[in-house]
Amino acid sequence: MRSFLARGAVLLTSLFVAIAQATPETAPQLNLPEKFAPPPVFKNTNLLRNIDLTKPYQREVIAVVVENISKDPQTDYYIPFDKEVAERISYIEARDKAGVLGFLDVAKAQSPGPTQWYRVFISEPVKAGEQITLHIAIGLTGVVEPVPAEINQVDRQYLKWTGTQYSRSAYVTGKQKTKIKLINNEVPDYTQLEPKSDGSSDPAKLGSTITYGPYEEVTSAQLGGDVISLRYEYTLPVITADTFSREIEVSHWGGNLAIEEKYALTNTGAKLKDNFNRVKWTATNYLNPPTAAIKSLTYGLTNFPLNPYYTDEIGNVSTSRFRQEQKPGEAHLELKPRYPLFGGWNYSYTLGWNHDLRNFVRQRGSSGNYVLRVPFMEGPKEPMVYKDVSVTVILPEGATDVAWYSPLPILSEERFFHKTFMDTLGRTAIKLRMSNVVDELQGRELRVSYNLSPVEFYRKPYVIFSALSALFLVSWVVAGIDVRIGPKKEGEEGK
Amino acid sequence: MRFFGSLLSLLAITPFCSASATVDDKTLKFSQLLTSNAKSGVIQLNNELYNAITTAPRNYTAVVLLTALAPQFGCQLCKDFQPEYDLLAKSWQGQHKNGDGLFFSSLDFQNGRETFMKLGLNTAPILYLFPPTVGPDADPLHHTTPKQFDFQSNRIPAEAVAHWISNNGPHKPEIVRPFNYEKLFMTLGAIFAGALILLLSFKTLKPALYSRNLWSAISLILILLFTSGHMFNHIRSVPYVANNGRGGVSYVAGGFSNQFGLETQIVAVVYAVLAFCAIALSMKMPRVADPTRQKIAILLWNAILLCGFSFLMTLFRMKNGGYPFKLPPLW
Amino acid sequence: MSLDAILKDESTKNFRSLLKVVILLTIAGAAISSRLFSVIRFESIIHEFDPWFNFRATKYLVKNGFYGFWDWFDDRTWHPLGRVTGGTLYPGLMVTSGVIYHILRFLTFPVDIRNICVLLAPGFSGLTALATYLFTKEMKDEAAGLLAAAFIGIAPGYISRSVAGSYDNEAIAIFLLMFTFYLWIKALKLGSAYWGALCALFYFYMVAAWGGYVFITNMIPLHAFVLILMGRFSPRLYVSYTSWYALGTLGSMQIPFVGFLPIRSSEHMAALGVFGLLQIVAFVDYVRSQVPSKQFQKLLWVFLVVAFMVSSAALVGLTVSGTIAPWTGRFYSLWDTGYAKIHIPIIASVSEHQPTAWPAFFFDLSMLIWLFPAGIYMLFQNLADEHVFVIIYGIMASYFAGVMVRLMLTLTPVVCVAAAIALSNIFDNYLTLHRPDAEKVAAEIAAEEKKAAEEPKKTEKKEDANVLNAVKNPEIGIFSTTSKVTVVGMFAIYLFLFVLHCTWVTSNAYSSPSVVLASRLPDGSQHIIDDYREAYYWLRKNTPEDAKIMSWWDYGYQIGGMADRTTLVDNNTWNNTHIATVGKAMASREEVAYPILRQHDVDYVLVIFGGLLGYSGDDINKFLWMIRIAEGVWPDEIKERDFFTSRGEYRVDDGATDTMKNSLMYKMSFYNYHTMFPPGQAQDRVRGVKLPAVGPTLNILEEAFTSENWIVRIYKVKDLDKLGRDHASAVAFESGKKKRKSKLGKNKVRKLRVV
Repeated sequence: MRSFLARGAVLLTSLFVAIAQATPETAPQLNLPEKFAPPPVFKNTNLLRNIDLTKPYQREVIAVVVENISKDPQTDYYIPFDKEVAERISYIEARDKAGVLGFLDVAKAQSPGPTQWYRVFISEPVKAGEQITLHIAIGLTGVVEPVPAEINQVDRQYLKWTGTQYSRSAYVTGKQKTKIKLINNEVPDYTQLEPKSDGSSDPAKLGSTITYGPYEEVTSAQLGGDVISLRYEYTLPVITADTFSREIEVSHWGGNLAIEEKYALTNTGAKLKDNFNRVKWTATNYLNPPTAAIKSLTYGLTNFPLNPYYTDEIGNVSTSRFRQEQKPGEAHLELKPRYPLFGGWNYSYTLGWNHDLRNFVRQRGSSGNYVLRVPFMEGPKEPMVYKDVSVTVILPEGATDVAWYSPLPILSEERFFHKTFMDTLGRTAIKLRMSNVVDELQGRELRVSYNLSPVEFYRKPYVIFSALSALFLVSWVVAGIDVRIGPKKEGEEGK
Repeated sequence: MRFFGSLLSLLAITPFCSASATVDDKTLKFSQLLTSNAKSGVIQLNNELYNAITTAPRNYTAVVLLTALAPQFGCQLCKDFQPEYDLLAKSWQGQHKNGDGLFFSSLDFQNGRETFMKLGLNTAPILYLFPPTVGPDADPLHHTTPKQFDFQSNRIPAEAVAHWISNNGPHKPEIVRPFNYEKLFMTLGAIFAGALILLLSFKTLKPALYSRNLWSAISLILILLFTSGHMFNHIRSVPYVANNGRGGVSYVAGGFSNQFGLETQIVAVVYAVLAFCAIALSMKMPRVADPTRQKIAILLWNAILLCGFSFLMTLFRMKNGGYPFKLPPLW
Repeated sequence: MSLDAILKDESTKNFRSLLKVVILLTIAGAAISSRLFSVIRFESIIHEFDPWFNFRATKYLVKNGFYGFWDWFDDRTWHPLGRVTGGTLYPGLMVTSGVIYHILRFLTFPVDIRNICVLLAPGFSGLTALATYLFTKEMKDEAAGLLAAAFIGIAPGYISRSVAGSYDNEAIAIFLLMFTFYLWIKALKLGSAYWGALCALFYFYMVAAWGGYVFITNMIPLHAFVLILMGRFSPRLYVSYTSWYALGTLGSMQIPFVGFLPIRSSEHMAALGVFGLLQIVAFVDYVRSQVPSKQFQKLLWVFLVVAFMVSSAALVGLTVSGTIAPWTGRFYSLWDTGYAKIHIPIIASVSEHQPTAWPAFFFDLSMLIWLFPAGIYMLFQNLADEHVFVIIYGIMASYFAGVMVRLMLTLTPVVCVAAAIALSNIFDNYLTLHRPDAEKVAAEIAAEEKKAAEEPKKTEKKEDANVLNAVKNPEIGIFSTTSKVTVVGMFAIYLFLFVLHCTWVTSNAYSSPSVVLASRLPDGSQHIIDDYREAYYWLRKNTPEDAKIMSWWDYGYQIGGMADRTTLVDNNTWNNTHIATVGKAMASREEVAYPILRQHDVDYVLVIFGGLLGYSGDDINKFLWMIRIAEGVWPDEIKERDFFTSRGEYRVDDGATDTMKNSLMYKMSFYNYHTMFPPGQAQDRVRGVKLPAVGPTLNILEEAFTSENWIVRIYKVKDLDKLGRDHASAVAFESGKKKRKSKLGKNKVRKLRVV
């Protein structure tokens, strides 16, 4: 009990933080002039760039040792991107290696110039001559394309990745290296740069990793250096969700949290060249080789999910398996689309399940103020890119002063009333939209706080009761009316 | 008269006189033959006539029916088809005095054994159509091998044959079924007589006409007929009984949507018995004055009802293997 | 006081009415829940073929509103003709569920329209039970009514057409049928125009709901006519009939699909004729009541007969002259049973239009089938007007049911009514505490006989005529309790058996959605074969929005509903030629079929093939009908004979005729199929034959999709060849090129192309 209280307390503090940060307009705007160039106050003494291509998008982690070469303490570390690259950035996060500062605030600058600046705000200023090691994680989509663009049902799928030799930086970089991690060591061709000073070939391929560099003294003027490209085998399907919408419905009466997700998937990998051949498919399926087709999608659901359903536009899809894991509360859900999705094929489906509300909603104080904490999205385990995402939270009827905190940057927020069973004025609902989300981010927590007064709480039963009683009253009155024409005959009572 | 007819035919033929002489001779010959037995409109063939009419060259279409009407062959189809064929020929001749290039002929097995042998036929009837070999409608494919009318897939009435002929040649025969006057008069007379009798004997018939028993009997019979699948028998013309493989007779057809004539009658009887049990129990029994007799009768009816129903169920389980329910005593 | 007395007592009246309500509700509950097997086993889904159209139409109605629905021209079916859907359907069903949908919305129950459609039939079956109760109550009493309601609630004959998901016109039609009949009987009994008008109102609803309304249109006049013949003309009859006919006809003419049929077609002439006859009879009756003279009455009768003759002659004349349309094929084929098979193969090809074998009757009605005649007989006991109705209805319906399996539906209600009457008669006698006193009875009988002996027999005859044999003697009652107990016990057992039977039939025969096939895995667990939806959904997602799909008409509605693509023909078989065209394309060689496909700009061809799974309802088995229908239009090009071997067998294996092997249908069904098996081992599990070692080749089509169990196969129609070659040579060339490529290098090929 005590411990619970303690946890509660922690929770509350974190919530105050959350609500404080809530709603985008409070986020600080950073405006820069067109010809902005950050002051050369930093030097990257050592930079290691890890590019992970095991998913159909680029996960880049830059570990950089930053030294303050100016006279006075500095807080703003700027990162440049080309505008068109910046548009494809899914997420960008920074923290210090030591981890004492936690996540640093990364602000996207508004400037008319060709360069898109991001500013990492180092919450504890770096004193002159001192160093700090930053970890900057960047998710970038749209960097790979299937080559060849069309393959046969049984062929292997190859992707072509295009990037830059150097990690582009606003500062002079003393020593840098780029490591590219691939899904396996099948790499037919990749850009060969002129050999290094020691004569060893650049890049060096070791198993499934390819290393470019090291390079010395790269100035910001050199930008990314040469364009490098890799063509490598990719043994997983390239899945893209053109639209993804998630609906989270809170019902205090049912004590239930209903979650429903709608997907519209496309296989954006190499297209199927000739037509689908069922015989080959059945034959190859027995020994299942890596294929570019989407055969199934697996979900790892947590927090005691209940009675999931898997349907599409024409009804229930019978090919789904739901299994409770050993670990309490964990469940494994495997969905098979009605047909295997080859390159260029589309499929859309709806997946829903329920939770016990108690695991997600806590009451704060006694004033009927509630806080909902729920995963922002729970997509399948398969790596995929969500182009257009919308998350709707439907709160109980009569919920007021709704505030929310989202872990991801929001494009737009919309508030409306959602009318459903036995609603008189409809349930308060908010809809959050965002774009270009990758599966890396799912599972992050969305927090919503709202007030629900007891009066509102008892609205439903009250309405039903009054409606029914009105009905009875009317029927009683109507039954009493004598509609006979002409005089009442004898012996008609009781008929 | 004969002469006159042939003369007429001659005149009629003249327009044809373009092809080679032999052909004309044949045409002439057959049209004379035709006119000679103007009654039927069918040229009765024998072996040599058959050869004559079928061998090329032909500037006419020859329809030849190879049949076996003699009773010892017991060819039912032949018998059925013959009148239709005659009708067709007759109506053609009615419009075209002497053939006009389409001859209907028939060769009976009696006077055409050799031909049957020669063609290696062991079935009858067979209807051939020899299209012309010269002239605009000549059909090179069928100089020697005729087209054959398909008896099993087609319906027998003359119209079908006419349609077939018009499909396979220039001629479009139309059937004129002679209106059957005597039949009409018969029916009219019957109706009239019936009405008269009814009128005269109305007094005596009246009670019967008003008798509920009569009407109830009629309606019950009708209902039993229909509900025991009589219409199925009527439409599908199912056999009354069939012999099972082992030489015996099987009364019950296998399969859920299949039945024999006798089977349905058994079912109808069972229904009737059961219905009568119900009637007896509900209407007769309460009117029995003597307690003991009543008691016995009721038990009796009960037993009959039980047995009947049980039998019905067994019967049904024969038809529908998967049916799980049984009723004693007949498991 | 005895139990009867208590039951009869005023004070228990309310209690009894409450009990009645409870019983009726329970029956309704049973009726509804016994129809939910499929929903519970599978899911809430629309079943057969036709309902998919109704469902689609309903969605259209809900989306575009009533007037939009009313003049709906559907260009996604019958390409390129399209269909004036609004004017060629019975809107009753869709409007009903649309109204329910909106009412629920208004009550803040936003139920999905699909669920409304799925559950409509069960819901209405509850109402049907109520209507049957009312109807039977008019016939005998409430006890019989409740029995009848219970019977109709669970009788498989009615369940077969009203399980959850079978969203068909019959779903509401049977309720309307029974309720209209009830109103008619009520009107006839009271002779009130009010009830007559109500009857007309529901008749109108029925017309809007189902083509089978013609059954009512002929039953009521027939009843009236028979009553007249029985000399039972009465002002009551006059008032009720005329009010029904006038209003009902006007109402029915408001439905676009019906329009002026009620005065133009033979199906409706009986009603009109009886209407006229009634006027004359009424007139005669009136005059006779005024003028007592005997001769004059005779004259009037003659006049009556003559007038009747003349009018009927006039009707015949009009029909012959063509002013009045003769019987339409469907109805005519009911009378001339051989007609459809010869002239309208489309009607004959439908399985539910086949005649009914006796097991079907027992299967659908169980013990009711033999209680039915008993009940009819008992109705003769006191032959009131309404009883006459039931008798006629019984006879007609059993005839129709015998001719067409489908019409078992119209028979079931009357069977339930009659059986209920019979059963309740039995229970009246055996389920009572009243027990006659033997001595008293004996004494009475003795007295009777004495009186009879004294009085000279007179007017006995006339008595006899109007009394059933079974009820000549005075009613006494049942003496011994044992016999009561036995009888009641036996019938209790029978009823129990009946319930078991109904449940078994419903769950085994009538509760599997034809869209989803359920099979059992070796370990006994249920495995669902969902090929239809797999393929339809593939079409829906991976073909262009306006793709034209050619398939046999059975699947038209499903493709329209599930794949949402344009079809050439569908289950509304209004255009025989169009269907024959499809049949021709399927039955003819590729070269012949290709122009047809192009002309109808077909993009995909869909066939159903059960060979792998042993699914017998596939296209090869339906193929003969396609051929026949095509032959009906192109007798010279398509010949059924050519698809049979010389020994008249219908084969698909080596022995198949060339016409068969070259037909598009055959090729599409078996294309690539042999590659599933080791060489020469290809098996067709439906026909149970081994297939030729070399499979057919396709030139004008290419396989686009095949469902998991091969049930649905979809082919893409190739475009015209770029070099203007015909497809066969093009394909041959390509394959040759491939070979060469493998043998000699590329340049050789280039040379070859130059040549």
